[in-house]
Amino acid sequence: MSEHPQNSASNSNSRESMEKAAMQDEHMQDVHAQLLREKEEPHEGFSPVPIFLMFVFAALCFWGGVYLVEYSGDFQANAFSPDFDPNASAPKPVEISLFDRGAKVFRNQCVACHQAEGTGVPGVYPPLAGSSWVTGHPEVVSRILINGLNGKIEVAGNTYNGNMPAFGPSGLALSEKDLAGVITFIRQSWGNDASEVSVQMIADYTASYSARSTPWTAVDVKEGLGPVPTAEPAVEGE
Amino acid sequence: MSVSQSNSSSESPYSSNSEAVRAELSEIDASIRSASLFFVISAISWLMIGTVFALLAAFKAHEPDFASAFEFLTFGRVRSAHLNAMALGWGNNVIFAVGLWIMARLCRAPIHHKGMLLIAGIFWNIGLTVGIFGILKGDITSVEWLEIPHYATPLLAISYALIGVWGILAFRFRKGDHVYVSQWYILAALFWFPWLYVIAQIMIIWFPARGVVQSVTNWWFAHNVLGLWLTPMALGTAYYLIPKVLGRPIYSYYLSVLGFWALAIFYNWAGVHHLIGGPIPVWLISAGIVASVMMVIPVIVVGINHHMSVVGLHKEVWRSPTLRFIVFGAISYTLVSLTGSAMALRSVNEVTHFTHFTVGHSHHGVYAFFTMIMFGGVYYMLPRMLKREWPSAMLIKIHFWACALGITVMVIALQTGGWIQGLEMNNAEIAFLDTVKNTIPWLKARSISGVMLTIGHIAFATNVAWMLFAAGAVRAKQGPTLLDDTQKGGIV
Repeated sequence: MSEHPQNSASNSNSRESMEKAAMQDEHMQDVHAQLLREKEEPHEGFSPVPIFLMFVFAALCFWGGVYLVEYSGDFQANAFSPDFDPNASAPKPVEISLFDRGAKVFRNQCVACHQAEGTGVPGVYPPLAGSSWVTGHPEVVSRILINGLNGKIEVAGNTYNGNMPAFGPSGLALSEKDLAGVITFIRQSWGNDASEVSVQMIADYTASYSARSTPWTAVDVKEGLGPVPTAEPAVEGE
Repeated sequence: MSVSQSNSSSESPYSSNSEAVRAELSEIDASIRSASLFFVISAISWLMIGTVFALLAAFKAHEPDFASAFEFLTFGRVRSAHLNAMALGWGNNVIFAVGLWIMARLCRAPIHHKGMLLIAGIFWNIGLTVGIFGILKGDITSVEWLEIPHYATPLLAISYALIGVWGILAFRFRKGDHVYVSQWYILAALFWFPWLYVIAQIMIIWFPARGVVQSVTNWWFAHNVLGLWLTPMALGTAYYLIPKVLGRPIYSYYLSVLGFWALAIFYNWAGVHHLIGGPIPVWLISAGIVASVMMVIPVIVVGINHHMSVVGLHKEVWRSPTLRFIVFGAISYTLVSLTGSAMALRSVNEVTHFTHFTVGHSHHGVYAFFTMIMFGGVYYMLPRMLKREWPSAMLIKIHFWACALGITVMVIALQTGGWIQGLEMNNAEIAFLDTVKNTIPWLKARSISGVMLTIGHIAFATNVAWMLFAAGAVRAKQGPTLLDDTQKGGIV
């Protein structure tokens, strides 16, 4: 510290002698009696921290973490609302339209054969764009998707002879939502302009045809069709 | 523990090293003498004033008609006048006296411009007087712990700044490399208090924040005044005086470090546990609860550190007026803090919230812990300031027993009664008025304990006044005033 001049002066010349004198002078000794009997200024020992304390602290920290997770109300401001559902806090998956879902399914499952633009491969895989099989009665295309299709088929003036695999429960087992999506997608893409196929319709078709073990042929796939559902079901349209 | 070693060095104060230290200490004591005496006298005056308000409020709790003819003596005003007189009058003044003195001693830095310190102290007490009159007059704010009306608080804030700065300056100009644990606590508290006070004033009184932010700020402030102002000052005092009186080092530096930083980290979160069930984000409350429970760490650490420093020297502790009070306070710190941690838990708080249990708890902390330690600090400091001995050991004993028994009765009465009250309030079968009536015996016990504390305070004030206006017999008194005459020794 910056010593004051008068302090340093008095310190330098008289502290030692003054204190020595104080030891003899009775009055001075009386004046300083309290100071003289004082113990030295405090200092610290260096005993180590008891090890059991570390366990206590670890347990407390663990408890604190658990408590915060349990009772944080998920850091929501509305935790006291009667409508608050502590389990609702996980972010809901974003619902996309049937068409967009179908586009994803198509890219994953169909694009290798039917091609990204729905053109197919001439002579090998039939096109979907402009195909009346796709845009016609929804039950036809649904049957093909659920159970597959074998043998000769004429599409847009060309004849194809191949195997369409089954995507229903007996085959690759896509979900009903995925089937509805991909059928809606192919019926409404590349210039196709047919109606949407709802999840409910696919559920009905699947219930009807999942027991069927053989693929359809171009002939029997068109037989015994039900009526085309005209009104969209109320619950539909996610 | 190497008691013998430290004792042997302190038993020979005539060695030259010790002589130089003593000369330095006497210089430092002289530099702060006038201000410290002023603060001690102010503190004791406020203590007596606060005691009167406390008695009035306590009697009114079970005799509602008592002294109710005057508007300024109604319960709401008297209770708040009691709180502010005790916290800001007794508490702050005694901190300014003892805390600044310990800081100056440990920094080995005399206080320069002591006149400034004295003037700032006078303004602090003027501001507080205006504030207390404002409360009694009816200008009280509705905010607990911040009841002082807005026209008095700026003066308090400014005069605090002019007082606290001397402790910080002493630290700035300290000598020696080692910074002792008391210095950490006192230095930190000197920064914490103005931060708490100014932020709370700004956000609640001067430019009020909107909505529940005010109540969050309110309890952040009110709880931190206890934990980050009174507590560190009392702990700093205990950490200085325990080894000072016993001539034995503090048990462990590492425990000191752990205790200090755990307090600094956890305490300031804890206040929101006052709002359990309130309309604030639940995670904020949970964070407050976790921090309150984590306070177990610094409490255990400080408890062990203090206990291991005095263990085996219980006779000396009992003989020394200073240590008898300080050890009582240190034990109370452990008890009150563990109770507080438990009270923060939701399941316990459901019972204790809005009951007398909380009142008992706050007196446990502010009185049994803080005030008792500060009494001990005054018992050590005044003989050095006045160069006189305490006139009467009997008065010190009366002071100790009246206060120790009084506060014990108060805490037990309020916490037992409060717990019963809480259980009854949670029981829809019991009419509310019955729960109120059932508290009356406990409140009467509280009034009795208040009378006991008053007796202790009168003994203390008498002893101090006797010492100040000393007759020749007191001046001539030699040797420390001890509480047990069987052994003469050098401990005060």
